[in-house]
Amino acid sequence: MNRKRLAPFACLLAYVLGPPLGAENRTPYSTGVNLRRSILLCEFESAAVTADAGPGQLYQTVAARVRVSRVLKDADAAGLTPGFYDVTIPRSYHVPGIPQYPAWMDRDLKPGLVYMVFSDAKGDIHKAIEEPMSVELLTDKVDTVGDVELG
Amino acid sequence: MGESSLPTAAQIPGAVAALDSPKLHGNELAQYVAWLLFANSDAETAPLFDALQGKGAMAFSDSGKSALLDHLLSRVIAPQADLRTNRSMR
Repeated sequence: MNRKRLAPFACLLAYVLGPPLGAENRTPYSTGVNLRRSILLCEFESAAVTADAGPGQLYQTVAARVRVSRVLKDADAAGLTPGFYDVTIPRSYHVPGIPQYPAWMDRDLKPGLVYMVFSDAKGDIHKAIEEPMSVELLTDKVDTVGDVELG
Repeated sequence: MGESSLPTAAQIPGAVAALDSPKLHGNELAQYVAWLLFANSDAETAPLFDALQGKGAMAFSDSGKSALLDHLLSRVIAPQADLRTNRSMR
């Protein structure tokens, strides 16, 4: 694509479409349907904080029961299958020097919410859910599943 | 994923059709569309470009629009900024 041709288009989109770049409610975009090793559709059945972050506890942990209703991608043919899974989600904060698991950070984990989970965990569906590369909350208004199936 | 086995240019009609569908689209299609625009020639992307200049741009959710802008601007502006930085360092 010719960058000179696209520059005014992008500026026009920025002007017409908004919200402005840097808006606080901007959703981080996907890390890529093609790049991720697995893509799951996960509905939270239950979730409860089991430990808060604090001295000696690097992560807040959330024990959750998740229903995987669809496996949209299993690139490694690892046999990821729909079903119910009990997981422990580590939610870290921005503390230098410790591994960050930002995908679930600040995400609502209320029962009934459905997320598309993009992961690179190979063969371990628990790991795929607990430490994904990114997640996206599904709503009735946006055809996220259709978008993923297309791309 | 359905289209990814096709050559990139052959994936454009599917993306144009998606933009014409009544449902809103999100971040995944935004990234896909941006990738298609940069992965193909101007002639090949003309239908997609035209769709985005029309109602296709409104086929995205708010976060999808932001994502589309981010993907487009990062590919348009970042290389130019790199170029300026490299020039100023000489």
